[in-house]
Amino acid sequence: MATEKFALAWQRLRTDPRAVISVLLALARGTAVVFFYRLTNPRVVIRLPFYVYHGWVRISGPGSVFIDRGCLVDVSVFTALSITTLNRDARVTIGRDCRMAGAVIRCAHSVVLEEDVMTGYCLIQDQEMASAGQHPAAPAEAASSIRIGAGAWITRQAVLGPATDIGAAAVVGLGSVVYRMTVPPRTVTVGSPVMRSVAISSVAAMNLGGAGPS
Amino acid sequence: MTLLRTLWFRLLCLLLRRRVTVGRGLRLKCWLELDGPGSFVIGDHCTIDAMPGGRREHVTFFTNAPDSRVSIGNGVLLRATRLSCKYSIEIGDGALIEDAGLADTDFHSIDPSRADAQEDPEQCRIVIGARAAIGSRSVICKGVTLGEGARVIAGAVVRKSVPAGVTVLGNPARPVAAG
Repeated sequence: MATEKFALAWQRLRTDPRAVISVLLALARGTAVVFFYRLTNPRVVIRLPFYVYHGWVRISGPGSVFIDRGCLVDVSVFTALSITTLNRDARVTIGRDCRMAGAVIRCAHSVVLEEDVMTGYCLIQDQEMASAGQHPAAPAEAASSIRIGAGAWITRQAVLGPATDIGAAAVVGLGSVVYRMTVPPRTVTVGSPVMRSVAISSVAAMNLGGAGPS
Repeated sequence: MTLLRTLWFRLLCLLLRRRVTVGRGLRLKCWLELDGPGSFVIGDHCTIDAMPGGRREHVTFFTNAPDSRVSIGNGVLLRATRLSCKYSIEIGDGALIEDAGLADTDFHSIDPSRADAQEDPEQCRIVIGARAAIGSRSVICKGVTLGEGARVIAGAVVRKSVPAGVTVLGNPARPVAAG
């Protein structure tokens, strides 16, 4: 088993050395991030292996953050991964094998990404105003949470607001805004605010035109 | 740091810019960038800050013309806000604007020449009412007046004026359904 894996890896290295090298660099970068937070912030726990292809992972705030093993971070729109907790009891949990590029997470209570979630450049904020409770125009808000189901895909420029629940393997369309809603699993949901959900299995049946054999 | 930054800002305004009026108690928790030939009025006890976790993104006021006027009331909190002003942008007392973009002009005409848009300054000015709140990643277009206490949820694109006390959401921004 191990030798099989090794043989495969060796094969890959011979055919595409650049890819393998970039993975190793990402792992090195990710390990640096893991140890940086291990040394500087005990409330941030990131499990190895952790891959950071570009950029740095910025985690700030008094709350706790947990990133499970196998996660991957890349840059989109100048942002890699930025997590800010706004309260001491805020908790951000990111499951195994998530792939995030340009995710900005602002958590006042609870943000959970289950395993295999993929995000583009998006905003995930579980409060209407990030400054809630800090200014007369933004009164303190009731605690609310965001859950993104396993295998979901939050596309570029999406905004997930408070009290949202994204079903497993759902796709939140480009630029969509999800606000106090549940997105059903295995659908493509679009709109600002989201209004239309189409089951993924029927998307293939729809004649959407564009590139491809006619 | 805030104190140093504020003092440095005030000094630069004094030395380099003629048309800035800054009230008492201004707190610069991140840099405030003033650009262009317009005039700026900032009220008392305003705070300029970045978004939490986003130290690099600061507040910028761009003006396009000498008679552009940016006017900020008292007790306003701006976090990573970007203002682009050709005519007039007025922000009322006690407003909160997070990392949104406000532009009181379309800059270019729809015509393929993309020449400067021919606009009526009076109709394009933006007025943000007292105690209004604007969430992250929103866009406020020209000619929008937000009434007192109006709220713009994150990610909205506001193209029409919002009455006082109303919460809007989405693109184009529509009032949030009650209940």
